[in-house]
Amino acid sequence: MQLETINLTKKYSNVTALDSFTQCFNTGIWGLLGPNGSGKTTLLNLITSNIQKNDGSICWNGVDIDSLGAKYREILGYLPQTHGFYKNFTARMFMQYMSVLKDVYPSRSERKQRNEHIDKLLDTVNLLDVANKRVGTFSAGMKQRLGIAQAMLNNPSLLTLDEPTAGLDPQERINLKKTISLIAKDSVVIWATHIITDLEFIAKEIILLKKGKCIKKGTAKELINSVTKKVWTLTLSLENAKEHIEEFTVSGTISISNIFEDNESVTIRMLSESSPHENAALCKPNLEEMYLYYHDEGTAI
Amino acid sequence: MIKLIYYEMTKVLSNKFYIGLIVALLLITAVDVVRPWEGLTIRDQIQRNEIVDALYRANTLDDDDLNNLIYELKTLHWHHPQYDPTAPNDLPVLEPPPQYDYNAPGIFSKTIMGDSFLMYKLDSLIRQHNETLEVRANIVNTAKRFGALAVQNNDNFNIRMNATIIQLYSNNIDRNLLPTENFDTHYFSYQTHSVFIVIVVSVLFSTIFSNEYAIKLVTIQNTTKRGFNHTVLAKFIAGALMAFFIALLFSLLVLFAVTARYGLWGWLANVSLIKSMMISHLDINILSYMILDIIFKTLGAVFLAIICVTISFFTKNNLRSYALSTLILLIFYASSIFLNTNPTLLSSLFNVIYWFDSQFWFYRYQAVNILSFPVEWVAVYITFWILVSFILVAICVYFKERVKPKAM
Repeated sequence: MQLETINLTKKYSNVTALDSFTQCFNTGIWGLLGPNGSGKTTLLNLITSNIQKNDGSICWNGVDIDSLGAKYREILGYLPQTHGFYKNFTARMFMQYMSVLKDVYPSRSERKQRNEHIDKLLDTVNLLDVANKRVGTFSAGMKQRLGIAQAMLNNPSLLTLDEPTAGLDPQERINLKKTISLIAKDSVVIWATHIITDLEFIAKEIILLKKGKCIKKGTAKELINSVTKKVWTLTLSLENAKEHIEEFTVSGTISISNIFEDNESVTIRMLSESSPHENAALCKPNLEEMYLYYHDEGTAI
Repeated sequence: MIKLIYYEMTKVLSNKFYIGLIVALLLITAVDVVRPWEGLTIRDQIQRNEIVDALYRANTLDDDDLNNLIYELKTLHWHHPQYDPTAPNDLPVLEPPPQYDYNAPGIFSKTIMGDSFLMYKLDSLIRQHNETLEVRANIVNTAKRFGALAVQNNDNFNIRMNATIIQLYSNNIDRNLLPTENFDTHYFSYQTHSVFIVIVVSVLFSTIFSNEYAIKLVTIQNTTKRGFNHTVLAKFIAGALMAFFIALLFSLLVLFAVTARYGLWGWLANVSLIKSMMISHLDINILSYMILDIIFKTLGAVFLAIICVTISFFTKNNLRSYALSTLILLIFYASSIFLNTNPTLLSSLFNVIYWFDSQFWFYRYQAVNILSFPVEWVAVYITFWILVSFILVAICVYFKERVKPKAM
C-alpha cells in the first residue's frame, strides 16, 4: 500500500504552489507541516484529483491514479480544509447520501449493514446522539467531526486530512488522534496541518513544506535532533530582559521561541546558530522550535 | 442512480424557502381562480346547470336532432317560461340583475331565469357558430384551390399539405355547433399559474449545481467512487422530474379549483367549442384537450428546468446562475416580443410564455416546410426542445468527464 508522488508540480499563473514534489507515502500517518501558502492543500488537492497537475505523476501501488479512476477514488477518503454541508439534511441523511456516492453497501439487502456502519462512525465522532438533527444546527466542531466521519465512510486505504483538528476542542482532538492512529495501522494517512502538536506523537514522518517545496522531512525525533545545539535558554533579571529581547529581535540571526516571566526573572528560549549571550545555555529543542528554525518565522512570543 | 435522484430531490425540497415559495404561489393561484370576494355571476351559475352540459353533448347529435333539441329548449324555456315560485333554489350565490326581484310572487324562479338567460343567448351562439363554420369552410375551400394548383404544378409538398388541411378541417366542420363565446369561465381562462411555474422552476433549479460549489462540498464529492460526475445526470433527471410535478401540481390545482367553483361543463364536447380553439384542427373533446394542455405545460416546465440546470452547471455560482437564468429568459421573451407582430416559428420556439400556452401551438393548422413535409408547429416545438434538452444534458455530462473543477 503505497502512494508515490514524482516531480509533482502545480502552478497558478506565475506562482508555483508545488514545485517538483517527490515523496513515497506508505502505511502510517504522514504529517505535512507548513505555514499557510506552503503548498499543503495544493498537494492534497492533487492527490485527491481535485485539481490538475502541471507536471509529474501520482501513483497508487505503482499505477498512475489517472488511469485508476474510480478504483482509486474507491480507496480514497478526504476531508478538505473548507467544506460545507446541506444544512437541511440530518447528519444521518448526509452520511447516507455520501454512502451512495461512495458506493458503500450499495445493494438493498445491505441496508442494515450500511446503517450500522454509519451509526458506528457517527458514534466514533460523538455525533450519534444528534444523528437525526439538521446539520444547519451544528457547531463548527460538530460539522468538522461529521466531515471526518464521511472521510472514513468507505474505510479508505488512503486518507487525506486537511487541518482536521480545526474547530475541535482538546478532548475531540485526542479522540481524533486515537481514531486516526487505529486507521493508520493498515492505511496511508496524510495529515496536513500547521498545528505542530497535532503530529508530534502520532506521525510516522513529518514533511516540512515551504513555498511549495519540501525543505526537510523525517520522524519527529529526527527533525528535533536536526536542530540540536541551536536552541538556547537564557535567564535574565527583569531589569535587563526588555533591552536584551529588543537586541535579539533586531539581530536577524536570533529567533525567540518562548519568553517565560516570573516575579524575579525572565527566561528566554531562542534559536541561534551560535551562543547568543555569554550566559546562554544549550537546551533540548522541541518540535515547535524545529518548525521555527526551518520556517524562519521570526520571533514567536 | 435512483437513490441519487432521490437525494437530489431531497436537497431541493428540504429548502424551506423553496417550499414556502411553492405553497405561497399555489395559494395565490387558488385564490385567483376561486375569487371568493366575487359572487358568481348568472353566467357562471348557468354553466353549472345541467342544461349546458346537455347542449354541449348535443354536439354529438346530427343536425336534425340538434335542431329539434334547440327548438324544444326554446319552446320550453323561452317562448313559454314557467311560472314556479316554489321551485327549489339550487343557485345559492346567484347575483341576479337588479331589475329582478326573485322574492316577489309571480316572478320566475332563479333556475328558470338562468335557463331563460341561456336561451336568450342561444341566437347569438348560433350566429357565431355560422361564422366559425364559415371560417372553416373558407380554410377548406382555400386548401382545395391551392391543392388544385399544386396538382397542376406537380408540387408534391403542397399537394400533401393541402390534402391534410382539407382532411382535418372537413372533419370538424359539422361538429362545431355551439361555440363558447358566452361560457368563458373555464380551466383555459386561467393562465397566471403558468407564470408561477416559470418563477418556481427558475428559482428552484438555477442553483442545483452552483449550490454544490457555494457550500464547497464538491471537493468531497469529487473524491468519491461515483464522483461528482455521477451526480450530473441525477441532477438533470431530478430537476426534470420535479419540474414535471410542479407544473402538474399547479395545473391540477387550477383544474380542481375551476371545477369546484364553476363546474367542468361541456367536458365531453368538442374542443373547438372553446372560443380560442374554434378554428383549431384538433378533433378531440374538451377533457382530452385539458389533459393535453396539462401535459404540454409539464413539458414546458421540464424544458425550462433543463435550461436552468445547464446554466447552473456552467456558472458555478448561485448569484450568477440566478442572474443568467433571468437574463436568458428575458432575452427569450423580449426577442419574441420584437418579432411578435406576426410570430414566426423561430421566434415562438424561444418565447418562454408560449411554452405554457398550448392554445398558441394548437390554434390552427400551421404547416412549415421541413424535409418537404407539412409539419405542425407544435411538433416542431416539441421535437426542437427535446433535442436541445438532450444536447444540453450530453454537453454537461461530456464536460464533467473532462474538466476538473478549479481548486477550492
